[in-house]
Amino acid sequence: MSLISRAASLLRRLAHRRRMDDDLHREVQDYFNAMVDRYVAQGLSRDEARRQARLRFGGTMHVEQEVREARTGFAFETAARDLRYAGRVLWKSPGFTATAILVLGIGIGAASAAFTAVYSVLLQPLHYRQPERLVTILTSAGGPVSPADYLDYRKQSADFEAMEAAQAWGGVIETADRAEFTPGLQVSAGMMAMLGVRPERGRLFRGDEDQPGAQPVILIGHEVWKRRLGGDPFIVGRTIRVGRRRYTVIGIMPPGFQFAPFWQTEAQIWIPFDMSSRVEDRFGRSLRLFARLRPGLSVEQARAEITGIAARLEKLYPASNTGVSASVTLLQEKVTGPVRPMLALLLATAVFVLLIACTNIANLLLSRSVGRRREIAVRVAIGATRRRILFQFAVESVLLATAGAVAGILLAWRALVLLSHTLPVASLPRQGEIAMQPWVLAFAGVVALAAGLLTALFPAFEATRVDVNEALKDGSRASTSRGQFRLRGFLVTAEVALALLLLVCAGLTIRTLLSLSAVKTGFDSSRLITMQVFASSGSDTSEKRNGLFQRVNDALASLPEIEQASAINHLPLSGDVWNYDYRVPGRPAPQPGHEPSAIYRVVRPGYFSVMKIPLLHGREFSPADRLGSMPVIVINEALAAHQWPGVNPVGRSLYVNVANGEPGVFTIVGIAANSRQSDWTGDVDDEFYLPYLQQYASWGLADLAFVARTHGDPQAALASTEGQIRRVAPMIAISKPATMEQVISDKLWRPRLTAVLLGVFAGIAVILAGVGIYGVVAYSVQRRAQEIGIRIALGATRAKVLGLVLRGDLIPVFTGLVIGVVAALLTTRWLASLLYGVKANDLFTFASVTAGLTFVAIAAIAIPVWRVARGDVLASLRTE
Amino acid sequence: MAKPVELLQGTLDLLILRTLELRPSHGVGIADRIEQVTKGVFVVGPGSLFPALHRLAEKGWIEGRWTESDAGRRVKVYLLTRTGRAQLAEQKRSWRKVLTAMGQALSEA
Repeated sequence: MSLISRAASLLRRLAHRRRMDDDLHREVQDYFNAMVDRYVAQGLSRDEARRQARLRFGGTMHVEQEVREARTGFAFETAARDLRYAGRVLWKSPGFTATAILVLGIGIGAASAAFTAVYSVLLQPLHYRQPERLVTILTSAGGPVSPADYLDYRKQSADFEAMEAAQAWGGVIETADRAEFTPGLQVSAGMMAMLGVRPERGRLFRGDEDQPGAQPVILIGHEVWKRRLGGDPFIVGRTIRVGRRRYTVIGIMPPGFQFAPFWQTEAQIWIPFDMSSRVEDRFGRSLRLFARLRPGLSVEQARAEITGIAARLEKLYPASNTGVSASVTLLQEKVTGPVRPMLALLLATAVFVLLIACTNIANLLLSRSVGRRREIAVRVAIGATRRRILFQFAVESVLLATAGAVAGILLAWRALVLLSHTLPVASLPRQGEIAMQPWVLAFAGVVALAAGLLTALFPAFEATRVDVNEALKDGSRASTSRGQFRLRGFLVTAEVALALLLLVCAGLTIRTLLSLSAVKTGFDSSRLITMQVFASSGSDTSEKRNGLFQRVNDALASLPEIEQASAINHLPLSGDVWNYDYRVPGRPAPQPGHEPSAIYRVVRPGYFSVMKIPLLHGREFSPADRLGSMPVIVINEALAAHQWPGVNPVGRSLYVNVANGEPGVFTIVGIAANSRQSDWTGDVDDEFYLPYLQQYASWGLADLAFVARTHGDPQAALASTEGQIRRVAPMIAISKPATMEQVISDKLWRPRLTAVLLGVFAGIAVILAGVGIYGVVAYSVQRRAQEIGIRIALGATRAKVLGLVLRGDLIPVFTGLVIGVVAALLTTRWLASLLYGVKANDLFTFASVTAGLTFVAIAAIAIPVWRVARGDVLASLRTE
Repeated sequence: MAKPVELLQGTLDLLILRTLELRPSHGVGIADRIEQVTKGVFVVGPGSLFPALHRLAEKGWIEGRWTESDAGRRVKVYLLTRTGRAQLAEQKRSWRKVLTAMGQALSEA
């Protein structure tokens, strides 16, 4: 019989079940009547004939049932019936059902949310064409590459189909009413084509559009188009003003398009990059390279080729390339690498929470199945096979698990929405891509099914091992079998061990967060606000921009809620970090590749006092340090200690090759205390500060980060200042207004998120474990209430009886604690990369966590035991 | 009848088909006929007959029709379909093969 006709007959059968059953009934009845007739014909009385026929027949209903079971659709009919029955059973005990669905929901929800994040960020391929062949090429230190090196890699390598470069860029998009800074990239003309992403409208760059003299063109992101340009349907072909130039829009990239994926991730505008003036430049390392491997080539082969070229360049150009090798990394790896350990840890802990939840459910079902022994026995007695009953139990659990899965997916969805609101913008790679997807739903479904079956089968196997006669006897106590005790002990052990492991992980990450939060920034972040201010296109000379920034600074400082205001080129902890080489005049020239360099900052007067960065020697910049006065410089403590250990260098000089200005000698006028500028936990970098008022002409800065100390609530001050500034300078763009506390907290988002999530997971684990232990003990104590009553009645002291009961219940708890500690010792090593200021085997964490969990366990045991022991002995004797 | 059930499964189907090859028949008739031709070796109770009949009908090898019996009672009569006939021929062949093979195997020993 073909599959189709089989399916058709199945459908027919399910549709016409009632009529077919009638038909069958008539047919069997006919047969029976015919036999009766035959016996009558043989001379029996009608009654006797019926009796004989019935004996021979063995029950017409039984025969009908056998026919039904032989039919194809039988399994479906049973399942449907079991499902209805299961629904009724669960509905009748709403307390149990709600608890089970909630517990399972939490477990499945945690696992689904974590899996969503892991899948969306780590597993899902990047949204470019054949992303598995895309690599990024950087220096061996992971930094950007110089234009000349890029051109050499491109010329000399054979392993790539294409190799393109990108450089950070951005500009203020000015429309009639508003100016807004938009981050972007300059890319070599072939970049977008190499990525293989089609524009939503218009076209990509042509090959010659990054050549000198080409018309200025721009690609814009879907977001910018919709939000800033009002979704103008005729935008392609029009020009928009970005910064000081006008660009013709040639295309709109599709929604969700992100490039670059691991740095400058917020880029929304892209222009071709004319490199012609820098083809010989090996010092200005500003390019990140992206390349597509030839089909069939491995990253290792490409790496060997590129590092080979890099080695040759190092020999040819020792002045610039000494110690600069290259790294070739799969793009996906580069994007996800930094958060891989964190996400893996989250997924692991979420799975642990799920396991604990399942353990609890198994426990609940076990207790229930004991209560249902009589029901089972009745069903066995009237002919149900063990398989049927097991099947019925499985259906019930799967139904429960499905409800749990629905609850879990809702929880996970809520949790992810919450997460996306709390994460700082663009902190987690591919943050925008985190979404529930079919894969995640499939995962939740599989997890629910597995959880349902696993938790069902243990107790069901136990429960169906029923001695029918025993269970049916009216007065017999539904005694617990030895196997059940062992199973319960095992479940408690597992719960305790898992909870301990989670607690240790949570403890370690919380201590990490505490140590990180305790790191001194070197400045006072309280009541400090900051915002990035971009000059408008009208301010087209550095003279005009200087005037504009002066007006903004004055406007800020004159506000009643502001104490004092100043500005810096790159805000500590959030802005860029630019290094510049320097030399100490009068000392021998350093070896190539070993030139000392330091981070440079350009600040307006009063910066140090606004930030409350103390000056250890000398003075800070004053308005008198202006264009044309003696060139001055302030260096930080680290640079001073590095070059002039033990000496006060105020009054000495430093030679710095300033970008567009004359290479100059600067006189050191002050030593500033160290402050954290970029790396939160590493060593403090060497730094020097230059006065903006003296240097603005050389740097051509078009934006400054203003900082201001407020009198009162910084959040409130922040809300009012933006409007005040616009009053003096309407067409400036202001971005990233924030309190400094917020900037610092964003810097610590990763450890904070890890600590918070692990803390929540561990909390859930402890509650579930406590409830689980409580349930087991309460149950066993209640079972033994009679025994306890008798012992007390016979003169045993309560303490002795309690000890007896406790001993039995404490053993699995302590076993769990020991296993948990050992497991934690073995596994927390993997956390090392996520920890700071605390060792992976930190004694304090282990000890406090173990003590805490022991306390919870003992409480969970003591409460039910104490209740029974306190109770009326006679009453407990009378139970049952 | 605890042990030979497995053997019976295929045999019973074959016997029903063979019975219906001669002429259409109702349940009682089929049971009587089988008992008769096997000289009482196989006594087919309704408990195994009906599931077998419905299984065969489901496969499309036989077909049941409600008709009037000689005594004027409505009875369900089964008849062999074309596919059932082909099946019967096929099964007869394979049975003979099995019998010959078994006979040889047992006599060689």
